[in-house]
Amino acid sequence: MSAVLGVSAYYHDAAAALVVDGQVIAAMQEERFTRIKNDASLPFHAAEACLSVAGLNADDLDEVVFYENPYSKLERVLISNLRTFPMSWKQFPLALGAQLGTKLWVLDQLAEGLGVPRAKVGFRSHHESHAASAFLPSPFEEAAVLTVDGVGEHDTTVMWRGQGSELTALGSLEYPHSLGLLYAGLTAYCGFMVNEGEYKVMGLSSFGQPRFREQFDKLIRLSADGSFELGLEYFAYMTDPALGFGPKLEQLLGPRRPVGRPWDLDSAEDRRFADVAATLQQVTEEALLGLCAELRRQTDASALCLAGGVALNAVANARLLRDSGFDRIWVQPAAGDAGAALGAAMLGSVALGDGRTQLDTMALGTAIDAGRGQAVARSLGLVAERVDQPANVAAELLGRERIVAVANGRFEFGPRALGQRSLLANPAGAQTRDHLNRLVKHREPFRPFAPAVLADRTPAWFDGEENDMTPYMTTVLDVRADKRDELRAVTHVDGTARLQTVRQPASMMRGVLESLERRTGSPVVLNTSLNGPGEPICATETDALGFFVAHRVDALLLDDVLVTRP
Amino acid sequence: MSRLQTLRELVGHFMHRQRFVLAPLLIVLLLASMLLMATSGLAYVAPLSYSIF
Amino acid sequence: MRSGGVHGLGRERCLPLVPLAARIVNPIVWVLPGHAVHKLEQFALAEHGSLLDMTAAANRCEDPDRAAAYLRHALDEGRHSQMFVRRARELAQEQGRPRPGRVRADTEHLFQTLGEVDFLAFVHRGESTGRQQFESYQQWFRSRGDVRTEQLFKALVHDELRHEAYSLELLTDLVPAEQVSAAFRKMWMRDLWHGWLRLGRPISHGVYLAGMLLLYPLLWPFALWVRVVRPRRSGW
Repeated sequence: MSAVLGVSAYYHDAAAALVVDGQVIAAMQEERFTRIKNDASLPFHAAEACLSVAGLNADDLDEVVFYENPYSKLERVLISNLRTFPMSWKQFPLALGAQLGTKLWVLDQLAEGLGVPRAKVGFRSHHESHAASAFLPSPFEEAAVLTVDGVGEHDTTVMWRGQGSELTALGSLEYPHSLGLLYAGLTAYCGFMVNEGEYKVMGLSSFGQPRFREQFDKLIRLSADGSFELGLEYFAYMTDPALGFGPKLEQLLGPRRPVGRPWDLDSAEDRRFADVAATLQQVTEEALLGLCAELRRQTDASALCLAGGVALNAVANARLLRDSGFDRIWVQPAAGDAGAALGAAMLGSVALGDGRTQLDTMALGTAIDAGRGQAVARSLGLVAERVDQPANVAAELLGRERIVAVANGRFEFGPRALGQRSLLANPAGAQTRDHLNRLVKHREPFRPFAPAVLADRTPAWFDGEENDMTPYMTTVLDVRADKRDELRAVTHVDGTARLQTVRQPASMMRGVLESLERRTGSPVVLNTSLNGPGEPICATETDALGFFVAHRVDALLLDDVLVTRP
Repeated sequence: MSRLQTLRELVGHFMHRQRFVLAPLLIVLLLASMLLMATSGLAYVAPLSYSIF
Repeated sequence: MRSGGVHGLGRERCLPLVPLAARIVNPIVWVLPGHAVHKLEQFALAEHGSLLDMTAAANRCEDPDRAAAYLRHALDEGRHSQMFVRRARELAQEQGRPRPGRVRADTEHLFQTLGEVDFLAFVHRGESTGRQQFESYQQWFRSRGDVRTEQLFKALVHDELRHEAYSLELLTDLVPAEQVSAAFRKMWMRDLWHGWLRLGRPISHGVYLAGMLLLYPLLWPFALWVRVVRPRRSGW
């Protein structure tokens, strides 16, 4: 037996992933345990939970693999601070203090925290971990692989060829020329939080026109060979990472948007930001298309795998499938740093001689304990009874336009709820979106909710069919024009939806959709994640009960235990 | 001690043939580390240093 | 509260130094420009930290009744945090200051590191101190005629009293009186030690920053060296 634990930590989204004999047994983000969104601290809770799911303890591990090279990282931080001397004087003490004080010693901390000999703790490079997470679990024997993010050790963008279990790097772009940091800088410019707000910018972009193209050509220059260069004078992050952009950017595009100001897309000012977002989205898509063109030249592959934070851009992924020339695209659903923990574990596993296995589910967390949930619910004064057919019960409630929280089986790995920890609602209701926002989500008005649909029914409701990305909500499809009324709560202003196609037999979501179709004729449900604003997705039955008490949704299903208010 | 292994790997990284030109940067790291140690900033490496403060 | 033998045990152990100090500095702290908003933000952060600890307790405690009690407490803390943030934002708007952002606390995983008994003692002490502090703020704002802020602290005091009561009740149900006393003593020592650390951290951090600022200009030869041997690369 071989057992490898992959770990990501310290930058964004700490996670642990366990691969045993080439199979992905468990993968979980630390935030689900600490309840701190995007928690980057060492994922000891997640690691403990992974081992527990597998019935193993730390002694059984052959290797612990950290997802990046801490020495290379320190080297880049030092070099980039010295390169920007003397402007980096503010950043230098803190950056170096963080590196030398804590982050450099991550391998020792893992050894001690997990109770594993230091000799068993190793690392792989950041982008290689991303590439492995994209290619090794994909359905392709051979593929082009593209990893695009903010920055790893030195690289921001890397092209790979994947063949069998091997990955070969073909070319890389170096910091600070980075699509991820471009997107992050503009996210901060639009008044959102970096590493959380990027998909809000993506949603906002559909409300605007890309009329800032001339200005954006100064921010990023795309070359014919697929590479690109940022106009560094517009970005301050090398000297002040808290800001992400410099005063020259505001001179170019106009004043930044204050954080937290309520949105009004009827106003000229907020339309300007929508136009900036639209231009950013267009430029990002073109940059990615350029990278794909170069990859096709170099690999001649018909399939593409994507990972790195930029691969979370579902709208761009749809454009790539349409226009890049690749026949099939698979995106690691946990495309950010959490997924890199999985990639690191897989690299370790392959090195030990294990084969690769296709990933067919993201339900890789710990399971609901319905019995405990029932006991705690009753202690809270709620009504909690076991029901025979939970999927039918949910569908019946949805048919009556109720909002149903569902927590069943093992929780999802990655940012999307796929039916394991979901909040479900009827997508046809005229008030559904407002109701959900008022009760739970408090989202900006331009942010859409997303649907789940039975895979076989996809063409009846959307322009297109299920593809390699749709089971995991990593792409968008157009909603059919004749169905937009019925799906008004999940159709974005541009007519698209970031859908989940459900095929998994015997899953709760499939049961709900089939039952719903029998009742209402529609096999589509609104599927949003089970969490309040600013919180990580619920993990345990206790988290779900806390959510249910705090937010007045109509019912909660913990596996087959139906929880309602007295 | 595991921290010694990390130090060895760190020095090995900077002394590697491809990165030999960067070896002088080790001096910068050394100076910064000494300052950190004196001010208990190296919390992980010197967990008892809080006894002063 | 339960048996008379342990009545007021928590309060005996909790010297009223903190609430007393609060009473003394109130006239300064709440009046300094911008500081009221800052304090409310700090309270919101503290409540959110408490939410994280109580949620962890609810998840880790095996007994479902105690888990439910911790969860109820966690939800209260979440509500309190939101109340503080809302009031901070109102004041910030009135004073033309930047709008306080979302609260994001850290956690020390107290339930895990202290164990349930010490954790309950910690919680009880914390709620008791907090309640007395908030009572002094409630009186202060009443004297200033700021009804909204007074009502905020009044609502909090009401909840803190409940938290004080249930935490002591659970603790005395769990272990005998001597262990309860021992737990309170331990948490009192812990508070002293952490107070000491809290004093020293900014000092050592300040010394470090000053030292680095002196070191930094001396690095110019290395900066030149790096620009020569490792210039920025663009393209593949």
